[in-house]
Amino acid sequence: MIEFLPSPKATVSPGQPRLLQKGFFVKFTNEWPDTLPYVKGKFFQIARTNQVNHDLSYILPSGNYRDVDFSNQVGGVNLYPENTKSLFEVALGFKKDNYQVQFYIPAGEFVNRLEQAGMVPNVASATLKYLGAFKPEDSPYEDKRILLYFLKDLEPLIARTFVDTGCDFAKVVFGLTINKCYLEEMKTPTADQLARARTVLYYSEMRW
Amino acid sequence: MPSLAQTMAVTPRVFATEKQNAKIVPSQIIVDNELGAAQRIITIQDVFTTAASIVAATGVAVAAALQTVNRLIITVDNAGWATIAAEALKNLEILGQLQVIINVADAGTIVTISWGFK
Repeated sequence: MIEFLPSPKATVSPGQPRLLQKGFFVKFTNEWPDTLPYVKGKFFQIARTNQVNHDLSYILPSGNYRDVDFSNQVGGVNLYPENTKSLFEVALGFKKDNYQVQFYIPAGEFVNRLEQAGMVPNVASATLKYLGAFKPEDSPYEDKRILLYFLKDLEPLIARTFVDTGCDFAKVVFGLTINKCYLEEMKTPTADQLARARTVLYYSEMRW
Repeated sequence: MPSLAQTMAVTPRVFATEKQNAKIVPSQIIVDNELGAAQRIITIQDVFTTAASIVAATGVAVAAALQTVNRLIITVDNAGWATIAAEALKNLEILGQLQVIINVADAGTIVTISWGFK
């Protein structure tokens, strides 16, 4: 449900589209919870798509952070679908400034952490503030490399946005392309279709 | 790229309001004080409202607040000029509104600014 696409080592021709397209296949693992029965363990073909661009911006003081909640709950920025047949694939990029982003889902649970005890992101720690952090150069506004997958009633994904020391204020700009995908379930996909499908992992599968 | 010339008969003078998803990057600043009554001090200011946030070190919540930051101060002699071109301005970024103030309002002092967005 969160994917980071590093710079390619080689290019292929013809190019592969980064975002899901009409006709593409998507499968959800059995790790998706029972509270999301409309996708858990299911296989879909994308019937149609629609791309919606959006920007979010915040000016924050140095040494401070703001939690940006992508969900539709109170205080969120309302980027989650309301339809159980919608999958929102969100490409996220950042304009340059002196800040970084760490992801949590749900609130308080880090997406990116290491295995040694205590090796978790912590913006209050001089040694851990860069752990698990994405900086603007990792996913530039013009070349978005972070992909997020949102479904109706998924737990809130939080982007902890921290302005590092060394400046007075920073302007945080998130560039978003919301690729709205309308899902049609396929009960009996072929082996070829299964092999070609993009697998959307539940966040618990990214933490072990 | 926008450009605007204004006398400093009143202060402050707003040159550009905030573009929410970009910073304003001045590419040229000209201060013409040929007709000014005396030496003048011009200040380029950045005016914006911060978003609510939390101090990382203490966990204390900080409310949204209006901020005015001086980004550049130029002293121009009476009957003089000052021109600052792109190379010298390349790291000057305005997060919010671009405005100019003068130490004494003077209709004889003219400020011209060109800018782009980043």
